[in-house]
Amino acid sequence: MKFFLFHLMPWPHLPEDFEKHHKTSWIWCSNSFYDPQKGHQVYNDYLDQLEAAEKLGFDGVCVNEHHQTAYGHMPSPNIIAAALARRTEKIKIAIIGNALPLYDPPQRVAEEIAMLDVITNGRIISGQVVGGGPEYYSFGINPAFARERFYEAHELIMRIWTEDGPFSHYGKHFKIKYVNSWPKPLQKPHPPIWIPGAGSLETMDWVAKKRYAFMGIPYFHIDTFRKNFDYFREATEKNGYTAKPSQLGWLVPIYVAETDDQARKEFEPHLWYFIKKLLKGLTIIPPGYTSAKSIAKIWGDAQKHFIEKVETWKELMAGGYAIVGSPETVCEKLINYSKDIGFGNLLSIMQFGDMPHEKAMRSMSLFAQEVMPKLRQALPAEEN
Amino acid sequence: MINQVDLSIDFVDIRGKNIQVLKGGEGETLLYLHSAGGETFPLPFHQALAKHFSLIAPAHPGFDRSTGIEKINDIEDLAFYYVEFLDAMKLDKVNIAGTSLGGWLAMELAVRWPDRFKKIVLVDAVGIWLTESPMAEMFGLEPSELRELCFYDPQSEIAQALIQDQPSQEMLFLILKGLETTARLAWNPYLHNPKLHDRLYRINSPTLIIWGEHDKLVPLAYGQALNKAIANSKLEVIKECGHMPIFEKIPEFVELLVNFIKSN
Repeated sequence: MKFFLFHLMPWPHLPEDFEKHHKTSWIWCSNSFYDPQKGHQVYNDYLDQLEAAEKLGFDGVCVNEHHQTAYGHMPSPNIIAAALARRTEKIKIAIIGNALPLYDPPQRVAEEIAMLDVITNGRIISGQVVGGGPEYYSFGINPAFARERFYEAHELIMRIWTEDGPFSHYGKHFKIKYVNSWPKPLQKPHPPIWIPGAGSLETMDWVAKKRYAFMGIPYFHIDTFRKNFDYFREATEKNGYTAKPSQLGWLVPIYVAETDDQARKEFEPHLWYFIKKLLKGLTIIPPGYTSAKSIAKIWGDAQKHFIEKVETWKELMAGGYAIVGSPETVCEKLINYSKDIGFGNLLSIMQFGDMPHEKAMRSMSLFAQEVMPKLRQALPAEEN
Repeated sequence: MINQVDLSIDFVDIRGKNIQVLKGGEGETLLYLHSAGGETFPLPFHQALAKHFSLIAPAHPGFDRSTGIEKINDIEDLAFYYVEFLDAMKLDKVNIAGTSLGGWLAMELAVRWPDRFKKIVLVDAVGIWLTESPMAEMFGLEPSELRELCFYDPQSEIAQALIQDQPSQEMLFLILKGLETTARLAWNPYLHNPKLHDRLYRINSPTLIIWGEHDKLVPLAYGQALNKAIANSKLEVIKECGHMPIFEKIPEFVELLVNFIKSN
């Protein structure tokens, strides 16, 4: 098992009655709610948490990209990765991911990831995503071409990293006469590629074919992950190999305190802040972003197996939507889930919703000291 | 209902696209281009039009069962496809009417091939942009919000029937498909072609512009701007009507259209 600290950088200062007056924290949620004075502290607390991951013994940190939302105010994960590049020495920095269709031209991603990879002596993991549905509203990008733009940009970036330039690219969405990006990444043939996904069959087939790693994005019932991970393993077999656990990652909120009761008491308010305020709107799907058939499937899953539908603590725990408890409980649950659904990378969200810095740090420390060593023993990582 | 006209649905091949065409009635030909709402199956307004004309109402590629949207990436591609459709149907010079998206398409055709059209009817058409009077958001709405946007009286039976809170699986699939195609053509620039307004001078056929007085999606200012930009045009405003005269004011809409096309 490898351990990554994942950060959303949520905005923790939405008013208490926010959900009474606002349908969503995305697209139309006014940025008048943002306060740069408070923001200074928030960013620096979050950066402190990410930097602490190295001292605490995590294998890496994960940052991610969202635009025009209180859900996560990290519009440029590459800037956060750059800040971390010089403040850490050993850990991997996974950017999962850059929303490729939002970059025009896509060389921007190839360049920035290569810069980071060279600066960090090859500690970068490149995640690449289509971007969230709301971002197609926020950036005016046509959702009907989201997949096409993603695949074209991805192929171009991989070509930039693995071939010498200059060469010309002539695609449907991008036409660039002279592609010749400086610098090139340090890792050969290129930084590892991680693709986060909610379970679109098309995406999992593609990731399996490309032999990239698949990261199951959170907020679903454990049954959904089991189904998706099983599908992914089958897809790798169709491509003539079997996925190792290191090719799979599970992204999940985790909170540790001395006892189960204390952990629940400390964690629960931040969970509801997240569900009632930040999450509303994440599932906005613009027309054409995914096929009508996929929408029907995702809606089906979401109706039964999405955290937004959870009403009680019991349901939350039973569904494995979050792992919360004493070190013993958290350890036991993670060992069981790991054996159950089979993942080699645990991507833990440890600052959740409006959780204050001190709480997040205490939970992270407990996790690192009391849980991680036992999990490393019980579930040794594969040799790379 | 008495004096029903038989409406039939056929399929024609247009350069590899399989196109669904609703047809019926006798007399002079009227080509009807539908809106993003996808009024592609027999509806009362089709019936009413088919009593006066030989009606041809195709579903655009990417709507209903018409195929071939993959090679169409914007409104200009759609216009170039439609000139193939006119040729295939042997419509050398035809009367054309279009609602909303269909009106936009009629204008894109008429600025390029002005001689192919006898008379033109634009109904609450999108296609141009007025910064001082922006069109409302039509994407990402709940059914109730969409009813509010499209109808003068969103509580009316027809509004409730056409935009249902819990549409059947089949209906939902049609709606999603239509929205996907509309996004493909009109996500950004939103429901218009920035070049169209300056090209409208090329339209020389007599043009009737019909507008619902209370259109909340495409305000009446757009009807007035089109009336100003198109040389041989007149604007008729239907009272107590929203974006969809074809549903909300069928007799008034049909009377205006018939009188216009049948007049000399």
